Amino acid sequence: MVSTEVKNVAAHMDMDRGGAFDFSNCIRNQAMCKMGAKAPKLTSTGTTIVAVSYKGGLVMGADSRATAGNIIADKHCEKVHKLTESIYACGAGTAADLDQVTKMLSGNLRLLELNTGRKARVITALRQAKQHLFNYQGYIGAYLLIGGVDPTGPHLYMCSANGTTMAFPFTAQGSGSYAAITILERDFKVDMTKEEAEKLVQRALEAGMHGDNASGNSLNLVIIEPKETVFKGPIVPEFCKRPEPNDLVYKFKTGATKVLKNKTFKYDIIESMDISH
Amino acid sequence: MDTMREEKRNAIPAIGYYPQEEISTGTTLIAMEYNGGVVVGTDSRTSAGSFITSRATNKITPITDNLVVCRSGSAADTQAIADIAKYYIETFSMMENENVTIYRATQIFRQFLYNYRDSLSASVLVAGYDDKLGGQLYALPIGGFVTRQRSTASGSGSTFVQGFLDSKWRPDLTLEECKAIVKQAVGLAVFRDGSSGGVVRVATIDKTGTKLELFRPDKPGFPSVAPPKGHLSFPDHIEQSV
Repeated sequence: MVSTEVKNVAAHMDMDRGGAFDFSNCIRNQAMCKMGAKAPKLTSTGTTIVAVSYKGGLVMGADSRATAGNIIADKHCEKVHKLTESIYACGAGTAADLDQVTKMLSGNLRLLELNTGRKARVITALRQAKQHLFNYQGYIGAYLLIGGVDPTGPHLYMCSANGTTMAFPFTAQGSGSYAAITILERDFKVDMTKEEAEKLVQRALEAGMHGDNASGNSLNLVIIEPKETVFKGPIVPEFCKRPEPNDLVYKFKTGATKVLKNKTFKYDIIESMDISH
Repeated sequence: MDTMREEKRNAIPAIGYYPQEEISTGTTLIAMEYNGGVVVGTDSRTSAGSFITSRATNKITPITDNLVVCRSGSAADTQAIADIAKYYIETFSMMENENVTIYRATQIFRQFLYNYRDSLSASVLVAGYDDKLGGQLYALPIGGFVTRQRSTASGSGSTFVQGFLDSKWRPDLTLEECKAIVKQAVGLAVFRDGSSGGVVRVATIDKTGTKLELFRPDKPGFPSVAPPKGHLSFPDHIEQSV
């Protein structure tokens, strides 16, 4: 029941490359769409992530919105991933791929640290990421900012899904990066203080969250220095706050409802659900 | 038409797949042999579509002390090839306890560019010095074809300076003359090519090793081109002096 158009597309696509993924379902999915089936959407982090290096350290940050099409799928999503004690990665792209890739990196780096008895270097994390992503030819949709401090100093790198890597003194990624980078280009200076760098990252993130529909809600920061790593967040900028209080008060005067019967049950609470957000 | 590339570009809305514009080095690479070595010059722009991803990229990748490779095309592909070829060259020189010649290094690059010609969009210039043949320059366009050249230009900016280089090259150039020509060629190409820009990086490779230089547009030494004046028939405010 495949239409000729779909068949043409199928004939045109070379699906036999590589052993890791099987892309034959792409054709099936396209055929199903042609027949009117609704396809599930990927949860993708339309994102703003920013990182700035300063004298002796590095500040990285991300917004916390995860989107699936026009829907905000998660308002408090964590896009700053810990790789080691002093190496972090901020991710843009496909949320599931980012989680898996950063999990793999942190595992491998921890093993490396245990085997060598030394702290892992940022360049090691970068190499692992780029070789993994290049192997999958961009099909793993992970766009990463990898940064941290190691015995050779502070480092900041960008790694794209197809395996491109670059080193930067400051940079931004994701759909909000265009707005964020304007702030960085205007105000970045070499050898800033920690406070200056932190302010700059926060302002760049807020620009991204303000100008990009797919970014927003709140921001998380991580400040990496040789001695200690400080995590800050979630910080909710003024323009991200809800105009009216989230939880309205529904309090009735005692006696507003007539009590007809009284009965007491005793329960043990085994599990509770957090419904605060 | 290459089917893999075609598939890469097509969006597959059914799985929410919308391909990002590939990061590529719309590039200007200039290289020239002289008596005793090679000079290479590049711009520093890396773009993804119309966005400049990096304005201070280093497209001159050192492989050994006296061999560099200048990359153009897909940034991911050329970086991966440079990494793998470097690994091979290092391994060979350790096993044989002898430096790998520039020609052999070029053949290693060729092997990858040819074997994976359907899935790569990479083109490189291999420039280096060895005691056997002196300064050498090899051009490897997409597809895995090799030619030794005395002077060459590659990348999107190369079309603008082909004639300039033809008119400037002559035997027995000195290092300084060669460097001046390469720098000016990069300046001319960057001026006319929208996908090239940023700083100018120049590397000189001779028997002493590799020297990298950087020329910024806001600092002296940058090969700037005087912008052409507007036509006389334009109003006064259009015709701006330099």
